[in-house]
Amino acid sequence: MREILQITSFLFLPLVSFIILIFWGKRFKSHSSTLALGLIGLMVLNSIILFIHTLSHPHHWPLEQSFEWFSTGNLSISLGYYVDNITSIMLMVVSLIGFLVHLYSTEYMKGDPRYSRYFAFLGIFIFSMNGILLADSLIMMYIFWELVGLSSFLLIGFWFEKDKPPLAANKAFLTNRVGDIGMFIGIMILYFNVGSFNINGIINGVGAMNPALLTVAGLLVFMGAVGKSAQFPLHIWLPDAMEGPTPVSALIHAATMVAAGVYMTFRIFPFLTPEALSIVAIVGAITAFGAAIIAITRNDIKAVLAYSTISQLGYMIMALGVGAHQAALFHLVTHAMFKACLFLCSGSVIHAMHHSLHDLNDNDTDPQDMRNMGGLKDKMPITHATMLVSTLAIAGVPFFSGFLSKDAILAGTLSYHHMHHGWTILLPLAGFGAAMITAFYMFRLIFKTFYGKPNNHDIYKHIHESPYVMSIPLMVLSFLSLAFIFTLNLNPLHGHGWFTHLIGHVKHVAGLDMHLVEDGIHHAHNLAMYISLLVATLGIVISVLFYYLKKVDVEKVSNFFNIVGLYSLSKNKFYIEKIYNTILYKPFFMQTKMASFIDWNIYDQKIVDAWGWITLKISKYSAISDYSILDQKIIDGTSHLVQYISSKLRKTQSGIIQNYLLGVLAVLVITIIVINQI
Amino acid sequence: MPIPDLGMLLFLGIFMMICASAFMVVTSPNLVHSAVSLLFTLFGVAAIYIYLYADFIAATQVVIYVGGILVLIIFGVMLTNKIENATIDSKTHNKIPGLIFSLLLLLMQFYIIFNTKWYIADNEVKDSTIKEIGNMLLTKYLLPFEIVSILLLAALIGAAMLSRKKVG
Amino acid sequence: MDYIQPYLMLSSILFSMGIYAVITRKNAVAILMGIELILNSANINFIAFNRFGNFNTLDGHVFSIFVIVLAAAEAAVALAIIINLFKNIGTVDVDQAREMKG
Repeated sequence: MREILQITSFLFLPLVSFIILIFWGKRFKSHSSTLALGLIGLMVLNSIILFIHTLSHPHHWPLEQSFEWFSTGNLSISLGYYVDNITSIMLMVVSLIGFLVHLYSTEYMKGDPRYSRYFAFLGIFIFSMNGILLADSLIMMYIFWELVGLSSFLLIGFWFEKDKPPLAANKAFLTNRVGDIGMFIGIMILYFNVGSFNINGIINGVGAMNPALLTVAGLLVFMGAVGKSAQFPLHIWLPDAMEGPTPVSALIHAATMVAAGVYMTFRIFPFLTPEALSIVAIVGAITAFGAAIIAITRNDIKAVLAYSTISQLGYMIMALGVGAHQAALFHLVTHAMFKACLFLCSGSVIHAMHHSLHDLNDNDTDPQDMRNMGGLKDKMPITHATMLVSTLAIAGVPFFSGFLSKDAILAGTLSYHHMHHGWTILLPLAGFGAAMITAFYMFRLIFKTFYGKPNNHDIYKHIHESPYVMSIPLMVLSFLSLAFIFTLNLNPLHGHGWFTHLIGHVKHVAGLDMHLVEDGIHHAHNLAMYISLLVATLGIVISVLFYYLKKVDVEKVSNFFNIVGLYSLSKNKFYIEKIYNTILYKPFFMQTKMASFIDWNIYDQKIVDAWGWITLKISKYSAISDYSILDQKIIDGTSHLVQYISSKLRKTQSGIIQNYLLGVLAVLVITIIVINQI
Repeated sequence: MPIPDLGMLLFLGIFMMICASAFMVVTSPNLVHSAVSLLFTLFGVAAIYIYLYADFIAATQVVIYVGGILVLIIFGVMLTNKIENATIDSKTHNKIPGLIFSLLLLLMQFYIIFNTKWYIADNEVKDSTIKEIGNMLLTKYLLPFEIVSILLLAALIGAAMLSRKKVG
Repeated sequence: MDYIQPYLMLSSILFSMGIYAVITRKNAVAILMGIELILNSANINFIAFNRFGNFNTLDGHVFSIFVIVLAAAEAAVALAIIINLFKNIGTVDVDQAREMKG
């Protein structure tokens, strides 16, 4: 019982926060944050307790509980939780980052008219995210999957008075839906072939399935992850989702919701066939490399971070594809920490820019554009320091967590190539290439924002550091981006520690020999480490050259690259939006217009109105017939008939008694005759 | 069919006479002729009563019917006779329907008469019935007797009242 | 006679003729005569049934007396009415007597 309470508190604490703040938030006003912080704080404590329990009792796992929700006929849907090491790690991550974002938002969102509703939406987001993490069956995960999409929609479109947020929210939700279609079909294929929605049940039951069908089902479920984790080709919503408040971007679109796709893929990893996994790896690689290239030419801070997120998610998916599932989860956790830190730092910068522009009464300049920043390191020291730490982490510099996790992934790709040869060389190439480009553009961001001379002196004068409430989460998260945290070993090159041990091994049931994979990763480890060190250094050096020392003319280089059109490709985001526009949106709208034309001009005016016309005609003729036939002929006719008959019958009342007597006699005689006959 | 003896022949003759005179009563245009035919009919009926061993009734019939009622009828005829009355009696509108239904009635009754097994009692000849009638009138049928006498009284007074001269 | 049928036949003939007279004749006195015929036919029936039925009393005869008495009373009153009618409208044609006016 205590255990059930502990686990379900992850669900009902944020839900309670949501319900109270949605209905009675107006009364709390600025105290809504206190209530939300309190409840989420309780949840964090709970997650820490659970995590410590995990560390100390490695054999008490997994915790499972499920109860039947409803059943119709043969179909029975049950809800329940499945908690093992990975779940407790993820719960810890979500709770911690959720708590820090709540704390940060108390200052960031101060003065917003819908303050309480913001915290309510954060509450329902955490509720849904925990639901995904705790889910023991694919159906339950799907339910919370949709809820997370809803929360994301509510939060992206939070400032709906502006033009862009509602459109961005729609785009996010719809793109997610496209992925969810595949996911649902995949779940159903699995259900009808294996007979269970429960993940463990499916893992145990797929042995009997046709491998081709299993590949298809696996890929379809993976499609949900493509949508949710913004992989190519459904990545288009994540850059637009930056219209939401920055803490929301930190929580949802960097650390947790987009990681849900990776988590789900991790859970279904056991039954993804090698063919499916190769496709997963390709998708991940394309995403990782492509997004990195696009990030080079972005000028908005949050846009750079958005594409960086897409790129890192590509890494995680690629890791799962090549079989390095431990590396994927490792990178997910480290990425959550440093990406959340990066977003919150950028939020701090944007917050300071906002205040400065407000003081200058300037409403036109974009506070998020890096071309308006520069040289902020003296004015915002804490933000600068924490952002630098996180950037080092994401660039894959030793002593920082990102190095370890990225290294593990790249080792995985090398070993995959070693096993399969041929075209798979592209995977490590993409991985290492993206690593270099990542280092390059992240340092570009740092240099453009914090170093050099300020681009706009007026703005620079009014900048000041953010309050402690916002700085403390930054400090906590940057601290958690150090390598030391995950290995408890001061040796920067030692990749395995308590964390990797905790993740453990996953048994694969669809044809992948995990021993081979792990052996390969182990062997490729060193090579990967050297190459990634080289690549990261190169990236940082080039970036320093370009942006710090300003030794190279950026214009000339971009024109050089543009000879083969590469610069434009990056600048225009590979024209993907334009392609979708022509291939998908325009034909769809044309169809809509055509359908509308058919519906209005043909159906509505000709067919439906025709009924109206027919009705009018019918009513007219009905009126005529009613009057002339019914009224005059039948009704008046009846009265005429009655008059006629009565005029004839009147003659019997002659007053002549003998006639009456005759009548009596006649009736008597006839009656007697008739009765006799009968 | 038994050999007709005199009684039977006479009966047949009386039967014919009754029918003929009844016919005359009903169809004669002249009212006086009807009245006189009625006389003959009533006499004939009295004779039939004799055949049925109803001697007292026969006598009563002659005395009251012929001597009383018929005289009254003739009085009525004479008193309500106008000069133009004698002939106009034929054009009645109910002749044919009346004829049809009367004939139908007759035929029905004949049908019943000839298709019923009548109980025939013994042919015992009674002596005069008057003693017995008188006895019954004053024992078994006393109440009807009294009532009829009151009725006669009422009729008498009524008739007298009806035909008096209207006092101004 | 030894069987009842002739008497009944006679009675029914008289009855029919009486009915015909009542229905057909225009003169009120003639109608009265028809009524007398009907009453007579009923009398014949009474007497005949008394003669040929299983009776040792003379109920039929007593009935017959009563009928005769009533016929007399009725004829008297009827003629009084006819004479009154004659005094009022000057004729005894029943067709002329269909108004209920004075």
